Amino acid sequence: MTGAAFRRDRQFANSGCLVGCTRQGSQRRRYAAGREGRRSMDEMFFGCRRNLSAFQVHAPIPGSVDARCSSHSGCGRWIFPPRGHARTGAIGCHSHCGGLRMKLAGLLLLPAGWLIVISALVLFPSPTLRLTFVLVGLFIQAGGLVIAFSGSKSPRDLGG
Amino acid sequence: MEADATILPFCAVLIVVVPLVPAGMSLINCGFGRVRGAANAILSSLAAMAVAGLLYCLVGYSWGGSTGGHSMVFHLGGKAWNWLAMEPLSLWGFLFSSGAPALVLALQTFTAGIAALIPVSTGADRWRLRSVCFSSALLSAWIYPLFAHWVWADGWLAQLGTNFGLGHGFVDPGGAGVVQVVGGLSALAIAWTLGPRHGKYPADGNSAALPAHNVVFVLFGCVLVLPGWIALNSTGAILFAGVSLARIPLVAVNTVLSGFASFLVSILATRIRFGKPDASLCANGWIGGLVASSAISCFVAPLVAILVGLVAGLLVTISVEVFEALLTVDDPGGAVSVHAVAGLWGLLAVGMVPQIANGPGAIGFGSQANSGQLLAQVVGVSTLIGLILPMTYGLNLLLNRLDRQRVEDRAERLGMDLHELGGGAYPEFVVHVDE
Repeated sequence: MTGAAFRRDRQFANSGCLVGCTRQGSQRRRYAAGREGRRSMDEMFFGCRRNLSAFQVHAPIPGSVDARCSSHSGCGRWIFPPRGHARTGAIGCHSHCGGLRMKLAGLLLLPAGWLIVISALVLFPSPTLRLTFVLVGLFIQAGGLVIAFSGSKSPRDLGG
Repeated sequence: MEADATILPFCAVLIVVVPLVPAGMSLINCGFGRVRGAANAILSSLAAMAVAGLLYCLVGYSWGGSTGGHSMVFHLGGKAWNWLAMEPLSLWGFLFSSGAPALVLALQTFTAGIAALIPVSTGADRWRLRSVCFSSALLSAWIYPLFAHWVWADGWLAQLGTNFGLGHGFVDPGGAGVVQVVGGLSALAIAWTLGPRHGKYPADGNSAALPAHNVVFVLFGCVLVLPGWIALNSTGAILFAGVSLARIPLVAVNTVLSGFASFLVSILATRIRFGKPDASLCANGWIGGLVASSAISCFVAPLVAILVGLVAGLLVTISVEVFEALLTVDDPGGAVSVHAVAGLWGLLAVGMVPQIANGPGAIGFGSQANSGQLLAQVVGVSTLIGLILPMTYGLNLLLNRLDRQRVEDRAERLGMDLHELGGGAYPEFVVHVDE
């Protein structure tokens, strides 16, 4: 890093937290600088590595603008905020991590519905009762799919 | 159902044509990706097929087995539940002169590969080559053989007819469920595990179009899969539905008609929706029709096959957009819609449409036999969604924890060809990078 770039980076780093604060400096400018590799994430998050409800932005990899999500659901997904809106990446990860639990809950409903379908075959010889319980099982599976898909909606950012 | 021993040589010839299906699908996978991942896409397809074929023979066949082999049976509710085959590992002591079981093994070496390469198009431009191999190994060594045993080797789904009086039990002679839906659900699990490509869902709320880099590849792949699909459906009909040689022309005609009808309705639907036909979606429609035909081709009259194809084409066209825009599943090749949605439709159609028995007599709508058959098909579909999907996703999630399946962001921007292979598919072209 050249001396001029380093001085500029220090200036950006002292201009506020990237994740939560918008009160100082231009996020677009700071983030664009980060994308061009002029600053490490350490510097971007200098002095303010805050927890936001369900997630925490990790200690970054030096020399890179990538960072891993380390919420307690632990998706380990790369956070890559889009240019000009640094906060979106973090929110995107938040929605993913919250969604992971929702998706797993939905996926648990799928075998539950299947067990009801199988139980209906074994327990009810009467066609009407059997059909009713099979439909109940399918309904639960449909609900599970809806929840799983709701939980897996991709964050509206650059993906990942 | 036992295959007629006199037509097994004919069946062996047909199996030689089946590899045209993975050949065409590899081209489709390549064409749907971006230009900077073209070589990696086709290499991943071949790797997935190779790993799957190898693992199926070494491990998978032990759980999959074939009709009349050793299996694990438990009793529940006074019925025998054939759960798992218990054949020796690595084909130890396997008799290749055994007739039908040897042909089943040969066919399934390819079908396991087909199931494994379906998710490759979903993971285009972001799925590591080694992760493709690991995921294919899981699919072919455990998930695929498990379901294949239940359906094709007198497993509990095939015995729903004898145990519970549900028609002929769950039937799927061409592999619409065993191969296509298993592959399609695996594609969904991969899409969930990997997440969307960068730039697919920008912050402004819309999904960005990342068009196929070579539609010619995609459309030529569609043509290439057609003879393979006819062979696949015919072989399946002989080995798993016990149809006679006289029924094979019907299977071929139904397969083709279903694909054609689905293709044409996709042209119409995309023209109405977008003003002009969309070549990618039409290709998806073509494959969707063939997928749906795998379940029904040996049971129905040609007109019914056309009807099934028309519905499959509509379903594929609509569901591609629903998955992409509404459910934010980034599936570049539309594999979830084409293989899972159309396959599920084909499986349900077996119980919903009039079937021909041994001649022109139709069972018809609403008859006792057909409603029982529909229930058997519903149980099979419920098993696919309720057991196979969570299992596939869980195993891929575990794999992702052990070894991250998605490439780093800078590798995605650089392109999969340069990152994974060190060279591009088109070295004389100027490859554009996002940034």
